This record gives sequence, structure tokens and C-alpha cells, in this order.
Amino acid sequence: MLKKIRVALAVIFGLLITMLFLDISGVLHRYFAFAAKLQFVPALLALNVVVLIVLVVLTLLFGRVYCSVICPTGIYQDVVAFFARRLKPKKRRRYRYSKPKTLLRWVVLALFVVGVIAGVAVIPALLDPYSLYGRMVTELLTPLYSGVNNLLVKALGDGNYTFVEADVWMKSGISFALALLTLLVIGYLAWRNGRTYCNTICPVGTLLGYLSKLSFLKIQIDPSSCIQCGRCVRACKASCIDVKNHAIDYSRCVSCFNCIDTCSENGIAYTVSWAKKRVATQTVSEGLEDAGGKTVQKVAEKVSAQDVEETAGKEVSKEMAQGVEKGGSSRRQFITTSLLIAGTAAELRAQSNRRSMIKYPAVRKDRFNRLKPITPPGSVSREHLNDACTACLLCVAKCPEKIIRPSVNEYGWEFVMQPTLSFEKGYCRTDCTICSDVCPTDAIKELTKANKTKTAIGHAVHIRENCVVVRDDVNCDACWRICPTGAITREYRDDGTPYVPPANNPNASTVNLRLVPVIDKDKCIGCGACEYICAARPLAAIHVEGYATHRLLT
Amino acid sequence: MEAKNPFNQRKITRRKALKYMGLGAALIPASWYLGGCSGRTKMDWADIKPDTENVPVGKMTYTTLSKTGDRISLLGYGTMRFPTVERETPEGVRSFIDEEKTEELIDYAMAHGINYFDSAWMYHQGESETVTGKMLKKYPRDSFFVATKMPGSVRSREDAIATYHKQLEKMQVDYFDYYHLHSLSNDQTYERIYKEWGVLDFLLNEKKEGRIRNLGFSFHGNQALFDKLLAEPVEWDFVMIQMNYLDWQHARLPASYMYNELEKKNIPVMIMEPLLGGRLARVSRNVMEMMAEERPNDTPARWAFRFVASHPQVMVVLSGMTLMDHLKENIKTYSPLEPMTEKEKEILQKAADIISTYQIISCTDCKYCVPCPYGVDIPGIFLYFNKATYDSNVPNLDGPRDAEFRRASRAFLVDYDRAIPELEQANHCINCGECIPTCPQRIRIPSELLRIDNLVQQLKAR
Repeated sequence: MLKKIRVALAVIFGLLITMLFLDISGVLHRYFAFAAKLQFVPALLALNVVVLIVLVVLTLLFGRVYCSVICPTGIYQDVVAFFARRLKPKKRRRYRYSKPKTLLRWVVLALFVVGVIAGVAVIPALLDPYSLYGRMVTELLTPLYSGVNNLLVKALGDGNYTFVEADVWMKSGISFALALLTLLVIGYLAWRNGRTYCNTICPVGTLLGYLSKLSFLKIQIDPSSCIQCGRCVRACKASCIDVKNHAIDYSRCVSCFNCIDTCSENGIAYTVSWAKKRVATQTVSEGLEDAGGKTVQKVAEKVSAQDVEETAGKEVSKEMAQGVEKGGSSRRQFITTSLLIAGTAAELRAQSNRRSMIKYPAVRKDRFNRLKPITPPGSVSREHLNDACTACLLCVAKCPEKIIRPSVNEYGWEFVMQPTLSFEKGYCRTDCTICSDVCPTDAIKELTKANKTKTAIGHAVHIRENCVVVRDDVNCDACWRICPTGAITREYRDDGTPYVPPANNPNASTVNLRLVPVIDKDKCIGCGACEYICAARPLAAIHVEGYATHRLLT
Repeated sequence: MEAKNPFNQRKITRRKALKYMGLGAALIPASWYLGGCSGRTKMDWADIKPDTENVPVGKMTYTTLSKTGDRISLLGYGTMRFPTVERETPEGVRSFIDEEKTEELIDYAMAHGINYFDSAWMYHQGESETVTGKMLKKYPRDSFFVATKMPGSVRSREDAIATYHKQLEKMQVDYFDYYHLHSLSNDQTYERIYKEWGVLDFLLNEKKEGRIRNLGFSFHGNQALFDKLLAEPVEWDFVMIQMNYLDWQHARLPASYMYNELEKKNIPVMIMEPLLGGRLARVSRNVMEMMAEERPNDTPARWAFRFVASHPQVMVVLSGMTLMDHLKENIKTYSPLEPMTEKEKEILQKAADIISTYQIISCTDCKYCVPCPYGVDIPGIFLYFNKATYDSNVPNLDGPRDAEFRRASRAFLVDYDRAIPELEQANHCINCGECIPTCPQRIRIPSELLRIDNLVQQLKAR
């Protein structure tokens, strides 16, 4: 029964968070975003005290149910293990007890803490189970999902407006490669031995594991009933049942309840922790349990308060770390170029399906190699983003304009895969705040629509030599027309005098004039509309450079 | 007297047809009552299928021209809209005429009595003349009539003459039956090419030499130019005008004016755009119902074809048939032609009054404006917009934001993305103005694109 509840809850949570990433209708994130905000590391980095308290209390009451029910990577491993148990030859299906790798666990946890405090974001990003999962879904599952969706659209034909074509694209070579690696490594470990990742590497697993040693309810073996048959050991994907000593390593038990039903002697139970001896004698007085319950709850409260203080302390030091001036980001060429090339090739293939009557086919422009990367609106500053982001790619997956992608070395290698903006596929619409709505770590802070239109994330720069007005000697008003804030005015190309439309016809045709754009930095919000629409190829003649700290325009 | 009348043959057919029609008109409503048919409340597009069964052979209506005795099928084959295939080229994917399908179409047309083929230098970006010539090569030269046209894009007298010789070569013929001054629309161009450079004299000389049997022009200009051309001391053997029931009264220069002038001068009239590039092949529901009231089995296309062909001065109606179904239905319409009654003409004038109130763009998909140097799919966008108008999918921004608005809005945006690749959509127009002089319909292309894009952007705003 307990197992059924656990499985049901895990399926619900797993679907919630997977659909949050996968959904291409642009609707579900409004209802599902909480599933990401419940995750431990994002809540920690967002200083989301409520969620942290909930998770700690949950662990102190029920053990590591977070790992069983809420953590998507945990659920992913259970799914792999589920199939492994059914597909592997009988002998190799069995799990075995193994000794804890305590030292490794503490080292990894320490590394995680150092990574957070020292601001080497790539370490928490590579260890946080939620972000690992987010990247797997965004890079690997989303293309499949969109592909199936597109087949469905094709099958349904005209007149279907329920399902709409989705763009299948690779967000970045490096996050794709890492996602694939995660999928294979964690998948392999889960296939072999169940929850190996959770119990040797995962810092959240370590932290919650030691916390769950204090939990109120625990799986317990009744030594008097136990016949040492080892059935429970073979069912334990956490390898934490030491049947010889009738001991369970609670730092590794994820409260999956798989063992309970395997016991032919009813010798395993999920029950109140200090009642161990009483279980053995099989007489538990109700009055005693009640009294005991209260005491333990008090203990739990104390512990959780202590824990929160600890966490808060950590956060303070993190805040301090934020204040530390960081050196300029190194632009080391550290990515594997082959992966990038593969990514670009895939994108090109996707675009080759074009109308033929165009003699000069409309091709997507190349990505601009910016001097200063652009951070998503709401991220306040590059530093804030770098410190708080775990690169789960939820913002990348949810951006309806597909302008957010995982960085390569724009911010330096320590911050790889954190979101950065570029405008080949679209531009940042002034009325959209989805990335800030969904971000679970608060790396992208909530932004009201009113503030969004005033938040400058960068400013446009015009490169005259590339402008079609100069190069092709034609009239072009694309950037001026699209600019949502009126930051672009125009001047005569040849003598630089400002263009003033005739008073009686402000929209008079300028077909015979040659005007170039002038950018007012005090009005430009860096939305990239001009860069997106610019007709110049292969690079836009007008592009956005990011601000290190966003400006609020008046 | 009878023998001299160039429309002799058709007038007889028409009289006969009238009798049948009278009978038919009496019978059809009767059959409704007998059949107890009452479920004709809502008429949807799909309800009327083109009539492509039992296409008759040897029943085609012909026009015999008094001057030359040419016996021309009233339905002519326009070669601007052949079926195409996409092929990879060094410059990217481009479309080419699908020769296999085209041959099938032309063979079918010849077998069912179509003997007039109208090509031009500009069609299919130069490919039309070559393919038409190649396809007709297997038929005896006197079994068909070919027409082609001097493009308005020639740069000099020498260029024009070279173009002309190239056309003879491309179409693999020794003479042209009909030769046009293509798309006369502006006085300066006409004066420069045909007078200043003497290209008209050159063509008249070719006619004298017998390499052009009939010389005329196709027209897209204003009334002043039209009057001027008719007053020229040149004997025009024919004039091609854009005529259909919508343009009859509702064009800038109404087709009725041009037709009447030509009738007065007894110049045979060729018809282009009888369906306005397909726009009249699909009409809105209320128009459809008006038509079905009178003739429940006829498609809007058949109505449009019968309208133009029922004018006696018309010698040939050109139709650019892309699909075999178009061809079959059209052959049936003209085999033989059942002339239009006055009542039917009245219905069409009412329909035209309704259609002319739509905010549609008068694009006929002739593709003279493409390629756009910046990659905008101009005709695609206009056709899409018109289709959305007919489908009632253009949301009314001034109306209430109700369920209907949301439905139309989603349908409009989704279909827009489906019809036009993102990078070829209207927002990519940079207003360079290169397309403006190319449009024979005189659409102010950049402003229209801007109007459509404004709508798209307002709908996209969340």
C-alpha cells in the first residue's frame, strides 16, 4: 500500500515536471511551475525558506521521500530500474547490500558547498539532480516530443488549430553532450545498481540522507521475525539493508517501501523510529505512541530550525561572495568545436526546406559574437545570474521566442550552460515575462509586465558598413519600424542630418531617401527586435550588447 | 451574312442552349419539391465538387475569326501556372516546371479540343516558353495556335530583337500565331520601347514577313493609355484585357469599359484572369448560397468562366490550369459553352458587389514581383491573407475580444506560420520599394505588407 502511494505520487510529480519542460503549447507552465520551485537546490539558491522548511520537515517526518517522490532524477532512475528488473536475466536482477561510500559523499557535498560559495556555478549545476534532469528533458526529450507533435500535425492536416508545428532545435552543443552523458551514466548506474548516483554522488541525497537518520518514521526490521532470507536486500535499490545485523543505513534509504512486501515474515515495517524495541515485542501502546509523537515533533522542529539557520548562514556567505569583485570572464576556447559544428549542421538542415521562387533565399543570420553577453530580463545583473543559476534550462525550454540558449563561454567556463540571449530566431517581446515566471532559483527574478518594458538588458549598436542602406544603396526602415520603445530615430546617410518626416504626413514614404538608424541609449531596452529583423546577412548590421547590470529606464 | 459573322458557330449553340436552359430552369426547382429537399441551409466549400466526370470529346466551342479564319477553342491554355517540382540547385532549392505532369495536361487538352496556348517570356521565370514549345513539338504545326509576348523588361532595341529571336528558338516554331506587346501599363515605357526604340516597327515588319500572324497587346494600364492605344494608327488584331465579373464594374478601369470600346471597334478580345488568379474560384458562403440558389451544382469557377465567355466579342478565355481537375472541369464548362442568362449575370453583379466590399488584396499570383531581394514571399502572403478573409479568419480588432475573436486569431496566426516560412513573412519587408513597379495590379506592396504585419503583431501581443 505504502509502495503504491509512493509510486502514484512519483508518477504524478514526474509527469508534472517533465510536462513543465516539454509543454509546447505555452500554457502548462502557468500551473506546473511550482513543481520546479519545490526542488531542493533551486529553493536553496532562491532562499525560498518556505520550501526549504517544508522539505526539511518532510524529511524529518518521513525520511528521504523527497528523493523518491519529488526529485525528477530520482524518479528517472526508478523508471530505468523498473525496466532493468524486468529485462535483465534473473540472477542479475538482484540488488546487494554495499558498504556506504561515506568519504566520497562528504567530499562531493563539500565540493558542492564550495562551488556555491565560491561562485563556480558549474559545480552545483553538474551535481544538482533537478538541473541534470531539466537538461536531459530540454536537450533530448523535447526534440522527440516536438517531432511526434509535428507528425501528429501533419496527420491531422488543415483546419487543426489544437496542435501546432513546433521548432526542433539543439540549444547548444555542450549542454546537449552533457545531457546525453547524464542520461547514459545515471541510466547505466540505475540499470546496474538502482540508486547509486543518489547514494554516492548527489549532494542533496547526502544532506537529506543524514537528516533522515533523525526521521520520525523509518523502515525497521524486527530481528525476532527475521529469518535472514535476504529477500528485502535483493529488492533494495538503495543497497542499504544490512540483513546480517538487522540494520538499515538510513542515510541511503529513500523510503521507496519496496522491501516491505517482500518479507514473508512481516518482519519489516515503516514505523515510528524509537519504537524499534516495541515493534520487536509487537505490543505498541497507543497512548505511548501519542506522547512519543509529540516529543519527536518537538525535536524535529528544533532540528529544522537549526537547519534553517545553517542554510541561512550559508546564504549569507553566498551573499558575501556575490559582493566579491570577480575578474573579467575568461574567453577560453574550451568547448569542443566538433559538437558546435554538429549543432549548426542540424540547424541548417532544419532550415533547408524553403520556398524555391525566392532567388535570394531568406536565410537565418549568423549568431553575433557579442563583446558583452546579454542576460535574461529579471536577472538583475550578470553576477546575480551567475551566482544563482543551476543551468536547469527551464527558461530555455519555455522561451516562446527561442532566444534564450545555454551559454558556452560567454560568462566564462565556470558558468557554462547558464542562459544567455541571442536574436537569430526571435526577439524579447516587451509583454512576455515567462522566463522570470518559471525560474525556480530566482536567478531570473519576477518581473511585472510594467517593469519589463522599462528594464534595459542591453543596448543596440549599429554597424554602418553592414547596413543594407549603405551596402545595397536601398531604402530600409526595418529596425526603425519594429523598435517597440521608439529608441531608433533616423538620419540621412550622406550628411548625417536628422530626418524629420513632413508635418502633414508623418508616415510619408521614404523609398527614395537613404536613412540610417540612430539609437537613443536612454530608450533602448536591448530587446533585440532590430537585430532580429535586420536584413543584412550573414550578420545583422544592428545588434545588442548586454549590460553587466540591468538598468531601469524612467 | 451568317457566314461572315465570326461568332456564327457560337450563336447557334447559344440559341440551342437557351432552350435547354429554359427547360432546365423549370425542371430543377421542380425536382427539389419532388425530392422533398429541404436541408440546403448551410453551404460549405466542400459541398460543391468540381464536375470532372465524363469529359466530352469533340464538343468544344470554337470561335472562328473573320480576318484569318482561325478556328480557336474558346478555352485557351495559359502557361503561367504549370505544375512545378522543387529541385536542389547550387543556389538552393528552386522550383521548375514538372514536365511529366505538364505533358499529361497538354496532351489531354489537345485531345479534348483545346488548340490555343498562351505563353510569355516572364512566365515561370523564363521556363514556360521552352516547355510549351517542347510539349507542342509532337503535334502538327497547323493543329494549334501559340502566343507569346515581348517583355516590358527589355533594355534596348537590340535586346528586344534578340529576345524575339530567342523566343522563336525556345518555342521551336517558325512563326507566332499571336504576338503581344506584354502588359502595357505605363505610357513612358510604351513610348520608349515601342516608339523611341522602334520595336513596334520591327514587330510590324515581322508581321509583314509572316513570322507574326496577329499582333496585339495585353493591357494593365489606365483609361488614358487604353484610349491612346486604340487610337494609334496600328491595326491591332486583338487586345487582351483582364476581365471577370468582379472587374466588370469594380476595377479601377472597369472591364466593361474596355470590352465595349473593343466591341465598337470590332477588335477580338482575349481574356486573362477570368478567375483573378483563383480568387474567384472560392467565394464566401453568402455568395456561394446566392449561386447555389440558381444552379446548385456549379462551382464558382464555372460561373466565372461562363460569365466572360458569354460575351460575343470574346475570342478566347485563358486559364492557367495547374491540376488535371481544373482542366477537366473547364473543358466540361466549354464543351459546349452554355451561355449565361441575364438573370445569372444579375446574380454575379450582386456577388461582385459583395466581394468588392472585402478587404482583399487584388493579387493574382502572377509572381512578377518575385524574387523579392530580401526574401519576402509577397504573393504567398497576399494569397494567404485573401484566403483568411474568405474563411472569416481575419479577426476584427475593433470588435469584442470574445470566443470568436480568439478562434479567428489563433486560426489566422497558425495558418500564417503554416503558409509562409518565418523568414519570408511580411515583417521582413524592409520597404526598399523594388517590387512597386513590377505589379500589374498596382498593389502598393510594401504598404499592404505593413498592414498585414501590423495585424499579425497586434494579434501576437499577449
